[in-house]
Amino acid sequence: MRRMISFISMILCCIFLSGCWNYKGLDDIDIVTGLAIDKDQGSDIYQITIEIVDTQTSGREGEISAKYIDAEGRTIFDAIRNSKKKLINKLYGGNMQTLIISKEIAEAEGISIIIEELLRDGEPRETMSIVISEEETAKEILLTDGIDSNIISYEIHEMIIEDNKVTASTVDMPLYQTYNSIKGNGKALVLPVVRRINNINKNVAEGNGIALFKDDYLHGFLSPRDTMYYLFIVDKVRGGVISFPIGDLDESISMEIKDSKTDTKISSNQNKIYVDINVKVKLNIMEVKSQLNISNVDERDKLETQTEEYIEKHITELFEKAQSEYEIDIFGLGNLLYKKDPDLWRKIETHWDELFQSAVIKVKVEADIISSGVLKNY
Amino acid sequence: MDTNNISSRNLTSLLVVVILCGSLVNGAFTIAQDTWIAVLLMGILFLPEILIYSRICALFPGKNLYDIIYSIFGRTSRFILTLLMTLYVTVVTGLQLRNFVEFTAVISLQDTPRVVLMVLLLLPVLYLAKEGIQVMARWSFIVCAIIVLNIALTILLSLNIIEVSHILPVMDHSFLDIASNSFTVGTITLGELVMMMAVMGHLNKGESPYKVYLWGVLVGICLFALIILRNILILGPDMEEAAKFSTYMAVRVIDIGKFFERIESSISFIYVLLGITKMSLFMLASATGLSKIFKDMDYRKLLLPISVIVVGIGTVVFKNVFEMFELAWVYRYYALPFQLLIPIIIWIKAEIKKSYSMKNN
Repeated sequence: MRRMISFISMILCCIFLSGCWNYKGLDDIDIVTGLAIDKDQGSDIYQITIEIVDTQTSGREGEISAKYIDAEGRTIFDAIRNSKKKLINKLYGGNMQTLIISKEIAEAEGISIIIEELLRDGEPRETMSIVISEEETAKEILLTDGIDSNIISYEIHEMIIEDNKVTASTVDMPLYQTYNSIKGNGKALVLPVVRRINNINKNVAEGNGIALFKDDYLHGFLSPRDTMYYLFIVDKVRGGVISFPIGDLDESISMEIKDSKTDTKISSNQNKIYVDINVKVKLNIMEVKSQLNISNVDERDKLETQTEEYIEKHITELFEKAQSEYEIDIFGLGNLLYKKDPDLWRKIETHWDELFQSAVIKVKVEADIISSGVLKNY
Repeated sequence: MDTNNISSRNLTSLLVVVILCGSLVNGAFTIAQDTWIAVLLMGILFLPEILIYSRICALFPGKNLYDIIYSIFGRTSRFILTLLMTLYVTVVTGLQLRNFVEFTAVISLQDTPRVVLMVLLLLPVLYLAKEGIQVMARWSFIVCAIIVLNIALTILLSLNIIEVSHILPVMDHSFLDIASNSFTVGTITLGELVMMMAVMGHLNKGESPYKVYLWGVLVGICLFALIILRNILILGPDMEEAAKFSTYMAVRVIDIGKFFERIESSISFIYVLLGITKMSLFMLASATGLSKIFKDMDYRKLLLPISVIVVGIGTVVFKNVFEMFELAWVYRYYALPFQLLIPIIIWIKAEIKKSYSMKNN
């Protein structure tokens, strides 16, 4: 009898006490995958576009599709909540992958408020991507068509996190690292830039270099080509293509970066900053449009020297461009100095940008051609 | 209650659990990348205190804190001391309970009423306290094993996202800052080990309380430092300092492929296990103290009334989450008499009594 009673009460406990006060079923929530934030010029109303997974049509033909919601509000959180007026379900942000910010907002009011709002919320994951729209509005990017996925936020997110292994044309900067870059001593924030481009009668999103920030305000853009050399300096290149002309006018060579390691040292001497960049890069020969005989040791050595000179030249050019054109430390070299000598950093922190403009750079590249793929030589 | 056969291994793991439980409030730290140094420094700062506790227990083997108080003090002072310690441990249990409820509320269950969470958390605590120290000590060994596994797993899985340069520059904060941080969090993690004296009497005959205390502190501090280092290396100093519960956030960032995503639920799971164990120890300490006052009444009968008081304390102890971390900085002064002053009085008195009886013999 006792056993029976305890058994029944156990079953009853399982039925009535399990579950969750805050239970939300899949049918009660709209899964947000992406968010685009715009602002009307001259007004203080934020316009947001939310991408959600379409759970009604998804799954029938084995394809996931997305829906879009427009909303307005005096603050971003207000706008997100206002979108509920059009919906039955509550928005769920736990699967949010991409946040697209228009360049007007990034330029005029900075992005740190948006970043903190998202971090406070707790639902969005700290690994989500933040991108800057190169178009007029951020909405345009969110409304492009995906090629691999119907959900453009996933496509942008995946594209960005894979980028430094394949093309090295933009940077992967998740939410939590963005926060670190804004708050950290001497760090510099850069974010990926996305533009809209036509691809076989479809508008698609494409990564297009990086956006440079001064604190949390947009300061300028860097082209995809320059971005690779930026990534060399900050040691984030894990792949990509280097192609350059050799010898005669129409002779060129194209190599795949297999691995790269950069060691950047910073030192100061009598109010002058010295930056020492050592790059070790391993390459595969992919495309040879030249009379070059790569089975010959001397010619390979010559090619290595040429590659080294080419990369050195471009890194130096980018550095000088940052010094003269952007006039801010876009590489976060101040943070290196802070880590090395915090006391010195606190002394020169206020006029760091001037010191950076007069910094002396020394670049040394060590290129190593390791293979020519499946073919033995040409 | 006259079970004198708990191995030092099990008691050590109970001690480790009490220490690691304090890592929930690592949001109280304000020194970014130097936090791990503060954790290690904690061990040195609180070493004298730990030695006093061990000495008291070693002087009276087989006796717990209240037995010791009763055997060395006169009528009034033993009543006051026991009452004070009991009150202290009851308040701390309430605080602890509220901390865990706030943690749950901040990270996931925003809409669930606090009281419901408190009562649900207290049910297993009551059960564990009712079953007594033996079950609790064995259970804490299992909890310890789970924690060590979890720390090892999360560290291994985060190897591709950690950035070792995050801990630089080392010792950027002044020594005073670091020591002050150590002191604050130390009162919560190590200082509360004063309540271990309430169960130390159950240690196997012949085994030294020194061994339990010192090994427990060593292992606990090392694991705590590892947790903090992992958080800093994953999140970076600024994000780590900004996060309320950096352990939870750090583990959220880990994702290996599509499979090892969302292992952060293991962190909330572990914190609940830690919290339950620590609170049941404190409940037991509180109940045995009260039972001593009520002329050796069965402590099990006192658990329920105490738990009602604990829920009451937990409800009013702070208004909002801001106060949770602000309180951690005030708590260090509040805890000082109970963690340092009273033990010192007991210790001195115990030494006198002991040497006096030695002479007489």
